[in-house]
Amino acid sequence: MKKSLYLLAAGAAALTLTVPGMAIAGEAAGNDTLNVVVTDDASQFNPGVTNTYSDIMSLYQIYERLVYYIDGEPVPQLAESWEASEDKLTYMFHLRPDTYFQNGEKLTAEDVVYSINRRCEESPSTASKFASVTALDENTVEIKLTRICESIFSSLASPGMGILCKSYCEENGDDAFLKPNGSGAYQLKEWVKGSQIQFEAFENYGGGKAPIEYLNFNIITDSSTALISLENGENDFMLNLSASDFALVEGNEELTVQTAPSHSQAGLVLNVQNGVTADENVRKAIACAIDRDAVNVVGFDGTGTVATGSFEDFLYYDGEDYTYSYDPEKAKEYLAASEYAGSDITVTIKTSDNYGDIVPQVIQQNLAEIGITANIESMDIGSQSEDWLNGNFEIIYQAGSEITPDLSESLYSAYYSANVWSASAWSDGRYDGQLDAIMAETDTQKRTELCCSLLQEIMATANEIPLVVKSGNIVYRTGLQNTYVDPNGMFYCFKDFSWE
Amino acid sequence: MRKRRGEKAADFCRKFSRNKAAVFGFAVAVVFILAALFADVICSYDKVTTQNIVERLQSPSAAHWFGTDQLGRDIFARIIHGARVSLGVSFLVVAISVLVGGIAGSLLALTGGRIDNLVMRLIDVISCIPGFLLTLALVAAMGSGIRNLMLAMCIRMSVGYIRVIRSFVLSVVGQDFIDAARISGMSTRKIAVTHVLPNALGIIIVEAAMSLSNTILSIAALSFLGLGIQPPAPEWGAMLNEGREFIRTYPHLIIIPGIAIALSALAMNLMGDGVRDALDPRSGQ
Amino acid sequence: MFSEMNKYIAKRLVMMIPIVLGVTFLVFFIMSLLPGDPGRMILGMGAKAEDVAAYNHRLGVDRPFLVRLVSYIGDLMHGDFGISYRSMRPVSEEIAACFPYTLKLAFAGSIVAYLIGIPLGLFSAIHQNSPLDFGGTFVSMLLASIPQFWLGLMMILLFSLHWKILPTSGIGSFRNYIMPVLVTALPEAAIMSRLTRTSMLDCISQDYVRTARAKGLPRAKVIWKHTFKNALLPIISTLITSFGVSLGGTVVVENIFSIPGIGNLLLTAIKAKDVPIVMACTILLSLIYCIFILLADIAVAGIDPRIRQIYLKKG
Repeated sequence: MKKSLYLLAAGAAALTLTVPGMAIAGEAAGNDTLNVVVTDDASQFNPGVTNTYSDIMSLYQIYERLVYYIDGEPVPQLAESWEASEDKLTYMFHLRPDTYFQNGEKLTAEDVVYSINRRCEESPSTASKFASVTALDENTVEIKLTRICESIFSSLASPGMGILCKSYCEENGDDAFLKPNGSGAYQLKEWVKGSQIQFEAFENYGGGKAPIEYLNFNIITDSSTALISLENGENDFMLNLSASDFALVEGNEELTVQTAPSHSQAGLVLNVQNGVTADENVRKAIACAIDRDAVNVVGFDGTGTVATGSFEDFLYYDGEDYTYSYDPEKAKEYLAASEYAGSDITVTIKTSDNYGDIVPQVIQQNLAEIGITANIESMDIGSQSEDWLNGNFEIIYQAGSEITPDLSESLYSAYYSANVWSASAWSDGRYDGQLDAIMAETDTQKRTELCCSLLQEIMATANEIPLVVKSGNIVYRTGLQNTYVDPNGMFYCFKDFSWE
Repeated sequence: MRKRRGEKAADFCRKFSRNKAAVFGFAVAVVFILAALFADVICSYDKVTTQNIVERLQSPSAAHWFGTDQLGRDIFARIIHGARVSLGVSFLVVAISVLVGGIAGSLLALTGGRIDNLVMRLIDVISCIPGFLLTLALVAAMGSGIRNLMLAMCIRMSVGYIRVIRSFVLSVVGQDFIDAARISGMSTRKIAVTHVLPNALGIIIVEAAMSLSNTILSIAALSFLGLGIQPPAPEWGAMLNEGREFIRTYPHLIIIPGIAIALSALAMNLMGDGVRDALDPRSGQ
Repeated sequence: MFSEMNKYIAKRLVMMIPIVLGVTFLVFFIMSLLPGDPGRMILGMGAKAEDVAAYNHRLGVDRPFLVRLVSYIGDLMHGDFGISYRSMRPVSEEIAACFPYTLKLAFAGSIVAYLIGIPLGLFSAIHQNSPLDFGGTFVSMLLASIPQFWLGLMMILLFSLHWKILPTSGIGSFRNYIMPVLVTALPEAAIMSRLTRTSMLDCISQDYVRTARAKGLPRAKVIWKHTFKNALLPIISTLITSFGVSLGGTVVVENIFSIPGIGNLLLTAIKAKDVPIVMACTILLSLIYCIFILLADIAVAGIDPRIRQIYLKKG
């Protein structure tokens, strides 16, 4: 009660104090400011908390990681160089000398050890990869792994692996993440909760001060509104423009669109353990019934590419299409061969607000053509994940991003019987033998071949039906230099961006 | 002096028809209701769901009066059949709430005592939660979807009706003819049906007419926020939500359902206002 | 008279306590219907079942309903709304950050609504049954019938895109608030104008007004001195309560214009099933609403002694 009244009073005070006077965000975008549209607010600036886009984007500015990950290759960031042992179980990282945190303290190997250990405590799946992390001297860190793990670099490059200042964190506890202290190119200036996150360039950034002095994240949830704010000069940069709005930007000389294939794939997940979709013929019928070109045109305005299921945008692409192509006649044959031949089949497609119900509606019509009735249930993403996890689904539509670009790791975590968490995989251990062989293989080439053949085998069961690989894009004010399109759609670091 | 029923009705019609705005509202409402009733005659339901990728996102034309949406479906057909969903749900919600409110309200007023007291305290509590917030919280807890949405709306509306009807009945109960009926040994239920309800009818009609537009708007708003009706059923608020992405490139996807919502809500508002004025004994003097 | 008024206020304040407790109980009950597993939500799908159970135990969500309720109310007494499942920060902090924006929006929206609504209603009432009255009625009905979210989208199209005179969203300056305030205000203005018209007409038809006019007092004087003053009673009471209503009704407006207020917080929390935030927002807004109803009642009782009397006798 008392608190509420206090809040009321505080609110009233704020009301009287702050009506006019503040500058309009980015009214005249000078050469020293970059205004970026983000779709949500940060929760805090803690590498261990990555709930929102803004969390991740902010972590990328404030903290550095040992490496970057670009086009499937690790690139030096905090670590200047590294070497691996013969058995690929020990890595030695050499840090960039003379690196300072934003509070002036020097960054040492101890800080790296502290940060990685802290991350391992928070995330059991990360912890399972690391056997030990030791500081050999002020600028050298030794990492020992529990098993051969090619995804180690992508793990180290993830936003959760931002390097923290040990003494600062120990002194400030949770407050260390409201007033963050990293070694990144930008430091937090002010956080207007729910509206704006302001950064300014860090003077002593180890990689050289960023060309753009001020960086603002302005929160706008709606994509169309975000574009309008770019057109009228409020903002300079946005990501993931809705495909239908492309035409609007093309005619505008002040704005530039940049596109690239993303790691984000729209697809269906089928329940192989229960219900009608447990019948392999039913699943194959569904796979053959779907016109993925139509899905691309209607759902993504034709900007995506029809998925092949073989991770073509990753390292492992072998040029083959692992999926079933559109063939309603074949679909009917599969249906006739199923145990449900002749009877009415009804399935439910669960989608969420985040993914929309347009694509499910296309599929609904496709399935109607081969005599399957599909209902669509649109739910919030939390409930959808919960149903997915608990096996309470027949078909799930999702358009997620496959962040780890290591196929063996993804297969191992999804299909190894002890790891199976979803009803779209089998818990009878049918692939355990193959997976054991993959995980023991040290030769990269052979490992990839084994992975691809296993993936092909799994895809043939139609437990998952990849639909469209989405295209990623950014829109920015013409004149902005050194931009790039991140395939995950959120890992942007603005340290090299500059105005012409 | 109480007027005879026929006279009353004629009086009502005369006053109502003199109110031009109300007549306009009535006419528009009739058009919408006819569209909802005869939707299948006007165009088949197939047109609502059939997708045609070749014809997607067309502007209004002779073939598609209101154009087509992103799945190539005919928007005219969706608006017409959408009337059935949007208005149908709203009417149903109001009808159920009126029924619940009318029965519960008069029973509470006539029985009184501890139950009345208890229920009224509960209602006091419920009415302290702002209406839209209550619906939002209920839908959040029960999950989205048409059935839960209707249930949440009914709970919110009934509470209001119970209050209005109860206090109205209480004001009637003190009057002589009820006392007379009680003395002559009539049961509570019979008193409610023969004496109280006919008197309460006017106030019920006014309340119902006025809250119809509110219901239409609330349901559309919830669908717009993604908490309402499931596809491929056409609902105006959901159509607006689906079209939101195309607000710049194909504004007809936003403008047309918006007009349908606004026009039907306007019709209900004007009509409700007219009904209230016509039932008011002081008006038209 | 003064002591009588105090007695009335004291009585109403005491009655607030069970109502607030009732609202808390009700909201708590509604939210307990929500199926969900906060531990699972926070730890993610890959987490082990025993970790999830341990987490839920730490949050206390595995305790029986009544135990949770009592401890929640106990915490509330200390101003503790719990911890947000999503951000893991105290709920009271999150709300304190959002609240000023909602308050500003609702406050400015209500003022604008009165500034438009009351004159419009007066105008209609003075020109009763003329084409001007008809026009006024129609305009206010139209305003009450346009969906707020649609109005907002249309205004963005016009003012931000077409004419480029107002920013689309944000809270940086006075100009950012123009569209959201208008969208909040217009439907409310419609209600205010209808109410003003009705209560003015009610008063105009009262005997003493007729008498005053029959005595030959000037028309304007009659309207201002006799009619408007008396018509004010219901207007004031609606005026105050409607501010409470608009506090709860900014959800849609905040969503469209990306204003980081309570409404947006609530909506995000609903989608993320962040129960502590949903409960805190609902309880807080209801509490404020109750306070405004109380203020309205007190104001009315202050103006009209009869109401006070009835109330005191009844209790």
